[in-house]
Amino acid sequence: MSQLPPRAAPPRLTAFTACTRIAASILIAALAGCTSDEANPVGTALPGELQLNTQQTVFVETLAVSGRVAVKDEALSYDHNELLYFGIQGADASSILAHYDVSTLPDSLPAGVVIDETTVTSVKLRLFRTEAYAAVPDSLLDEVHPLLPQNPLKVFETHTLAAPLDVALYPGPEPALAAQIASQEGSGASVFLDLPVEQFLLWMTSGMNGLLIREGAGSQPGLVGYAAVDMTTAGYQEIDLVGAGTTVGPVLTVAYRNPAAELDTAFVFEPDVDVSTFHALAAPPADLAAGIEVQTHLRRYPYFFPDLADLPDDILINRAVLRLAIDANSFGPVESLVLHEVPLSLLAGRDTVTIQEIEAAAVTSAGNLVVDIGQMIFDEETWVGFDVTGTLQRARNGALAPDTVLLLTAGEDFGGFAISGNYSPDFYFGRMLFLGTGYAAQKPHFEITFTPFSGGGS
Amino acid sequence: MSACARVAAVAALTLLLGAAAAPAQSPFALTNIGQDIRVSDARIEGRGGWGVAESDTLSPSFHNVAGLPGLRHVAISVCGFAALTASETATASRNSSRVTTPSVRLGLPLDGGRAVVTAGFRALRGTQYTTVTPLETWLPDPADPLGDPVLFHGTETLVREGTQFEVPLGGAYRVNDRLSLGATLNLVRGVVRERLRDDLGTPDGSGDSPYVAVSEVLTDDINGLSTTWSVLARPWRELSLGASVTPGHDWNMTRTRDMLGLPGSRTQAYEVRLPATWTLGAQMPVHGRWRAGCEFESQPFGGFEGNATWAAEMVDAWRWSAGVERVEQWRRRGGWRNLPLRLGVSRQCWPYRVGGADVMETRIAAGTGLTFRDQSGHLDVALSYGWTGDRVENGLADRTWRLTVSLAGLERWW
Repeated sequence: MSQLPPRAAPPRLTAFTACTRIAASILIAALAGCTSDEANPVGTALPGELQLNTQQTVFVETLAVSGRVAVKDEALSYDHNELLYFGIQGADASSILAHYDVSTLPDSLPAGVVIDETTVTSVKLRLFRTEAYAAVPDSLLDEVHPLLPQNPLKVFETHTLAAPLDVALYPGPEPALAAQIASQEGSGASVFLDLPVEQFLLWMTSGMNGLLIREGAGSQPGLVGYAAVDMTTAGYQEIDLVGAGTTVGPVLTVAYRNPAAELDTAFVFEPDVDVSTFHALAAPPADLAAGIEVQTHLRRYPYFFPDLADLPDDILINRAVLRLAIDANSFGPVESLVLHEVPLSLLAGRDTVTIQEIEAAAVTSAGNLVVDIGQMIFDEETWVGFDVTGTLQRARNGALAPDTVLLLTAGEDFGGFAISGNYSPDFYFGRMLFLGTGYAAQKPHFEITFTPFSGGGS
Repeated sequence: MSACARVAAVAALTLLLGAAAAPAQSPFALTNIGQDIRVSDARIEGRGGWGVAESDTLSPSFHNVAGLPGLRHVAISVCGFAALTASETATASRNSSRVTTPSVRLGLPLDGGRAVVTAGFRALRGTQYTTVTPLETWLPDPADPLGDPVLFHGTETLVREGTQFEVPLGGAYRVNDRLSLGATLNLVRGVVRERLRDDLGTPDGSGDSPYVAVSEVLTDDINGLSTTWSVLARPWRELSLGASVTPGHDWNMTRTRDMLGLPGSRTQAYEVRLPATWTLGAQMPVHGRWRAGCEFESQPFGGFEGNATWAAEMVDAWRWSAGVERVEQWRRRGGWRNLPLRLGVSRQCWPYRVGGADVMETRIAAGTGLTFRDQSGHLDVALSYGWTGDRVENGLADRTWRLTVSLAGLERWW
């Protein structure tokens, strides 16, 4: 069926028709290429079927699991720590133990020369205080941490040991002492302790070769860190001043003068090994109600996980923040704080785990690059927060292993959040304390804001 | 280049342009079953939309497959439109543009054109629009977590998108010189998807929000089968009458809900009942090269069932159109006068209410076209301007320019 009358053969395309085609193509392209205005409220009033639920916020204060664990670095024995702690601060007390091999002294002299009180003119033991403990004016408290004790005046008592030194026992009680051979006040960056020559020679010949430097009566309170023989790494101001590799530990300098032998020299003895005794250590908070503690150097870290049972199913967590209120009894330098997801089976029932075990098992959940509790106390701030949104969402989604807990550590070498400028957790002894659940107004809690899935439950 | 190759090339170009344009259509498409985007060809659009009573062997119309018998060559027709829409509410306005997915139809003559087998693809309804509105939410203040909540200023973005389309497979048969019949089996597929996202913002409205945005997606996948029956008759002289009906049928719907950040999705299957659609039209020569026609289509969506939210706002949709056409001629040195000229008007009622009132659309159109060398095809264009909705009654009004282009190619292949 054809509606049109018979047609004559059409003429060839003319310039007109060609132009018309081109114009039509351009018009199509122009229309197609037009971009719409940015979306705006036009059309908002039209009802869609999809309606989102409103956000809700809950504060979860109940923990499904909590505990603490001591952590040590398998690659770093205790006697290889870079600082020696001296003094008393609160319930913490530490003396310095050092072992010297001075048996080589006779071999260093020509055969037959005399080593006695007439030729050994002085014996000095030098302690090199780290910069963080320098006295600073109040105006600079923002720059040098206010929670670190500032250059207290100390009385240094030097004792000889009654038995050979065994560093494997430390941290622990002070060893049995043979005699006090010196007592001297001192402060400042370098302390030179004069040891009596007679006592030194007796000590040298006794073979004990260990010295203990203990805080004596009349000292100002505060733990002070002095360089250990192992402190040779660049990056700390003390080492940067004297050059990497320079011994800044507690060296003994023995001055020898023998006119008959035309000898006038000094012999320097580095300790074979030196340790802090930490013979008294504050007990950690008894339980979660008493507080949460992150201790560096002698690492002790808390772990916990919130009880999410009361949260509804099928929710999107918009934000989950762990908030810990600062306890003003904290002390120590600026540190990073990191939350790691760790299997509870790694921690539960163990007194000590290694950093290497944690590194192998942990997934970083959240962290704060710089937690300056001293400054926060100074500024009257209260809360340290960690954004754990991803971790809790995965927990709700069933994507997190069911026995996962959050281990709160200082900024270790793994997992991020450890930056240069922050000290390694095994360097400075510090303790960050947070109020426990017993503090009604400032309990540790998880603030969780979530949106229920509108299609949930079907 | 053959006519069919030309048609294929233009189809590819149109698809490419469609993909490149920032898509948005009328905000009225933001709800319910979506906007009717059926388009047969630019000739019909230029006449206001009537064509069910038409049969043309040079530029075959697939508006009514009963009009296809008489084809001498394989025919391929491609048609699509681009639209510029200016929308207004009492407080805001927006210009948007969209190129639709073109329809492609094929007609294969058998028995010297007495019978024709047809297949193709065409979009039925589309929904493509995005709104962004300010969002205010009371949330704990990160700076004072235990203090009073503070007001966060963010945005809510709603994206509604999707196309319902059909693949008609069928045929037509010329019973005699005055009667042809046609039928198609239509495979219906498509999707309607809503994505809603709340960016919760910050107390001062700047910077990144400490809160994770909420985003959900609701998707209705459509799977259906329908039939269309059509007839074309010439009962008296040159008067042509055409009619087609698509009986009521079911769509199998699969509703999927997803929330960003949650594993898995929630799936629900249900059925919706589409009401019958029927169309009646007539056309006849009126004077010289001029002919006139009209058409009425009814879609009684008041009988829609299966989705209570949609059904609650649905009404009986209808559309009428009328127009005239000066048919093409090939007189030497005829110039502009040789061109076809089409004028038309249409008015329709959308199948759902907005703002509690029916959505009425009025459109005026004009069009023309060109025949390819050796009558191997036809290029047609139509330009129309439409008014949709009422700012007082619907809270929203549209003004739309639409350019429709269609190409029909004829090919001898045996």
